[in-house]
Amino acid sequence: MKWLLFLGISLMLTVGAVVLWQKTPVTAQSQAPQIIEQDAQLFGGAFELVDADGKTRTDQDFQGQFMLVYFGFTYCPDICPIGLIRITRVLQQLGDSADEVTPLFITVDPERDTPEQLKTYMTSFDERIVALTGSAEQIKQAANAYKVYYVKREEDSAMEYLVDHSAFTYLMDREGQLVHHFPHEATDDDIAKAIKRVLAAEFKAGAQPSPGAGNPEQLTETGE
Amino acid sequence: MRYVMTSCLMLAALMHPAWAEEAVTEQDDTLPPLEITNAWARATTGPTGAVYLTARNMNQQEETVIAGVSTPIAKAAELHTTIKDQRFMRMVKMQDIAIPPAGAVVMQPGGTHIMLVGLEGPLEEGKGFPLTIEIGEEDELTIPVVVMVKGIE
Repeated sequence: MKWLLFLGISLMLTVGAVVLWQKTPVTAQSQAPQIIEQDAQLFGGAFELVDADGKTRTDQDFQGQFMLVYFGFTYCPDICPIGLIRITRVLQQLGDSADEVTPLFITVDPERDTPEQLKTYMTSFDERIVALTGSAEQIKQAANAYKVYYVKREEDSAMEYLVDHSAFTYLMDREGQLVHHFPHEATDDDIAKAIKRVLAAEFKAGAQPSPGAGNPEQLTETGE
Repeated sequence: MRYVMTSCLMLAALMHPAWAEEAVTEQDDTLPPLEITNAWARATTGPTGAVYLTARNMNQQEETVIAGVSTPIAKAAELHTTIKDQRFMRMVKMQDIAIPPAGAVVMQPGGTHIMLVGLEGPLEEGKGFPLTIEIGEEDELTIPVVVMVKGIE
């Protein structure tokens, strides 16, 4: 009888341990990339750039819209198209909700990426993506606002030089504050789900005003 | 029953080192040392393009080197790889790619790729073009590449 009790207790302990072990990494993972509110303040801000039609566009033009911001350059054949095809698919997944989001593609190679160059390049992707270039100084200001690192690097290549750059996609809210940032590895599903969640939270907050409206609920984690 | 025995024999042949070696010596020298599969390029209207493929070294004993690439549809074709470090995604040119005996190199989005610089025109979905791969110092192999719209799948 004692044996049975002992066996029973060990079994329960083992099961408990396995359940805990399985749960721990999941919670750790979902907490790790979370953006805290303080960090959110550090991203985004004022910019003045030029679109593919040569028209001046500033951050003020996009106020009241969510923005999906991605930096890259047209001479980049691998990383940047992946990012832009992903945004194209996110917009398709969002359906009508895509009207709430303006996707921006900002070049880190203003020297080669003239408005004309951007215009040709962007025909490969969703036409709603606003491609932006500017003077070296204007691009620097925009990249600094989004904490984007970029460095021009000479290479023994027919391209003459390449631009190393960070490849995050930033989701900004209607006030221009960071809600979410996605690593290069994020899928279109990850991004579309996050946007849908933010829009749903906003709708809920608008329909039923509560003390929690329009705050940390919007700060969701990446990598889901 | 005969099938079972044959399978057993085949399995034994695969597992037995001496027999396996014998099989290798029978390798056909006239075949190209590289087998290329899944060659595709991303559709683009931009100035550069990327080709992805899987290259398998069919030589069981010696490494095979991809020494260079070329295509009539671009001014230059180069071997590149994308490296991710803490801050950057950076593209680095590779002089060549050595594939170990019986090994393979998988070129895929976000990693090693063949970069096309100075495209003659847009790469349109569904179209194709030839790509020549220089193998070692003497051989070369020309393969068809198909244009597709693809990110990371």
